[in-house]
Amino acid sequence: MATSGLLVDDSKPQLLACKKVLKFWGFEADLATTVDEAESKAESQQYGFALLDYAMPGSPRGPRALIQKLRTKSPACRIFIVTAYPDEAWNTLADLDVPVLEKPLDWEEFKRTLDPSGGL
Amino acid sequence: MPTNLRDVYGDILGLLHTADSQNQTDIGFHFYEGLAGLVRKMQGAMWHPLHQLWAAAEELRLLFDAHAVWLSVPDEHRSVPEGADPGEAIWEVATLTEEEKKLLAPARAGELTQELKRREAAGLRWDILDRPLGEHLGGALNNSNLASVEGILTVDVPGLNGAAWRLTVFMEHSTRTRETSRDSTRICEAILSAAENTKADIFSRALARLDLPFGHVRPLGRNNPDFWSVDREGFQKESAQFQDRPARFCELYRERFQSIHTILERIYDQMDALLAGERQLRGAETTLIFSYRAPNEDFICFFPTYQQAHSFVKTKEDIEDFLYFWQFQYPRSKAISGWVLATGTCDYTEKFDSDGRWNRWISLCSAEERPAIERQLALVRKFFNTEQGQKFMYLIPIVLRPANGGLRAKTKGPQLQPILMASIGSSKPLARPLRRQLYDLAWQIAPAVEMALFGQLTLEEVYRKEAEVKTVAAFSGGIAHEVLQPLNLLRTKITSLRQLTQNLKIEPDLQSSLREDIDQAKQCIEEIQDIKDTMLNYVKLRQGGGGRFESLNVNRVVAGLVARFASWLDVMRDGSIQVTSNLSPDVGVISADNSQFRTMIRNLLRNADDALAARGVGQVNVSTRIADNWVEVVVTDNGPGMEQAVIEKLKLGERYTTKSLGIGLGFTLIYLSSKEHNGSFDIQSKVGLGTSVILRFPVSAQAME
Repeated sequence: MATSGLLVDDSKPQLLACKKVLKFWGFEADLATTVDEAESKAESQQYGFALLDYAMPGSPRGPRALIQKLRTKSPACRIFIVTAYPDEAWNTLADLDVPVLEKPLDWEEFKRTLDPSGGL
Repeated sequence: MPTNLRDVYGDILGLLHTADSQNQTDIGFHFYEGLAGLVRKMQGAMWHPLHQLWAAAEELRLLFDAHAVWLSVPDEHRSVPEGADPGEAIWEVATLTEEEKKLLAPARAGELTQELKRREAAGLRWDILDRPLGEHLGGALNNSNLASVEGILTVDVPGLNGAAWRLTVFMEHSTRTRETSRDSTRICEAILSAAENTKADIFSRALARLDLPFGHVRPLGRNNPDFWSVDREGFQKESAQFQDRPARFCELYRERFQSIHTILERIYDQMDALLAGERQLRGAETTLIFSYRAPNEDFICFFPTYQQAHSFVKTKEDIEDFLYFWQFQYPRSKAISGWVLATGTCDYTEKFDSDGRWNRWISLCSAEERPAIERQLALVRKFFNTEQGQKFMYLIPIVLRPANGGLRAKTKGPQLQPILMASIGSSKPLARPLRRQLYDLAWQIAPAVEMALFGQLTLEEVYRKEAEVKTVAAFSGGIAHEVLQPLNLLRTKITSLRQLTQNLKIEPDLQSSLREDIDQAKQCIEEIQDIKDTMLNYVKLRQGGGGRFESLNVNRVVAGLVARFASWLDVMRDGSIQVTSNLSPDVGVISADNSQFRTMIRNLLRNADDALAARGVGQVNVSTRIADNWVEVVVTDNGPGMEQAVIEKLKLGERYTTKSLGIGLGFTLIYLSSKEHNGSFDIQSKVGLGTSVILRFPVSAQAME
């Protein structure tokens, strides 16, 4: 199972902090600050998981196309939306059946979600 | 429980039959005692704002005179033979069976009113007399001449949000005999039917010929002894514009007359919906006392039970205390049936006081009722003492049922019927004092309606609450983005810091201290998040937004929250407060909004911690169980407990906090969320022992995982 993830958020500090947290737990992660950048990475690499911010001012298209690309290129990829607008995200992306996590993200719970057995 | 008109009137006819066989002087007591029984029987299932019903009851008391028998007069019988008594003639041709005539004889003699409903149930309708209204035949005062109608008044009162309330009242003379006129009833019926009736023009012309003081009443101010200003000119102008459209004129008055019934309908529906959840929470127990003191010292009280009404007259206390009492004891309006105690001036009460049955009725009050009743009795006794002796008091029993459209039934099936009233009657005219009372009461109706609709809030509180919701909504929207973004980063940083401390090669004490600081920072973030969830869920629920329901494993979520809470206690309370859990394996999955469910329980855990924090030590237990078809989540602490007054506030979802800058939305959210989930909650607490809060969710929504 791939242990590499894709983190997408328009906040660079947030991405770097997330990468650090995941690295401590043994996960590597690629970073993208826009949907376009993320789609480009998803095109060329497979990921085991993806943590996507929902509302990114620099990406008006939203993550829908990215999610579909990830599912095409990385069928085993576990995709999560993390957002301060869970209702909006849920309503908009309900058909894609993507788990929506609320900000601020509970990292301990996310780790358990990613790997209920406690290891990955 | 009779909900069908025929059933109700069957009961009442039965009572009449019983009364008919009684001694004339006893007829009042026995009949009303039986009626009280009927009232009690119906009381449990009815929830209506009392003020509005009181006003409607008063209006209808004028309209549906207690001594009236409503007769249907077919066209061919309206011509009364010369020299014949119109009343007798009409009675003979009325479409009543002999048995009904026998049963209704006491009513026709001026004792009771009930015929109208029988006619509605039978599908009969009233028609308009083609004889000019106001004519006396042979000098007799009877139903057919409308001579007793003193006036028609409409009172305008303001309501919330620009809504206007118009109370239409028909004022009648008392007659010299015990038989008072039913004329106002006929006017009402005629008005109600006129718009759909080809004889509308006849009616409007007849009305115009009468020199009745039709009044548009304008307020002159409460300090003005003459409350009424009858704007005859205004009415004449209004009626003049409809001369070519009599049907429209009748329709206008029909609308006005029906206004209170329409309002009552709306109130009934909204109160029913509003109280559905509370009914579940609080059961059917209802206590409502309403009193009104007229400027002329007439005093009117309304009691849910006959016993309370009778008990009320036995004690005299300072009236000001009573007014204080009812202002602060007034609960959410629920009772819709009971007894109106009105005062007049005669010596009738002497009979009451000397009657041993009064004492018996008082003794029937429950132990719980007695202190409140004794106080109520005490509060009015002084008022009733005058130099001339006790004032006259008579009881007006009211059987109230929700209306489905006014005086006339429009649909078949189990119907909710308008007010039925009966009164003992009075030997003195009440028009003048009652007019003032109605005027003043009309001014109370609008805010009282809103109080009932908005859960006992005053007008100012309603506006403030709406403004508060808007403010919270705007603020919450800002929180969602402006605050959560940096909070998200902060939390991630905290997690990273904590990870780093695990690998630091520093002295154990320093590492422990560092970890403790980081853990506390993490807990603070979670506390902010809880506040955010509470506010956002509160706004969503107040704005009518539905929850996002999904299958929720109760024990799994509760276990996670307990673990989180335990971690919080370990960090913030250094283990002095312990949390335990007892999760029943029988509890499975329910349909719930994840965020609301978690927020409810998190708030309860925080409340438990707050309760114990002052003492610095304590126990919190969280349990889940199945009980009586409910999935229950119970949070218990052994803290200081709560006063009953506080519990009552919290059960109504009122904002309450012991913190000086607290939000106080915890139980408000639980109140709203419980309704959203078709559940309920209960608070059991004893001062000095602790508190248990029980959240209930429908088992019907539970599914096997």
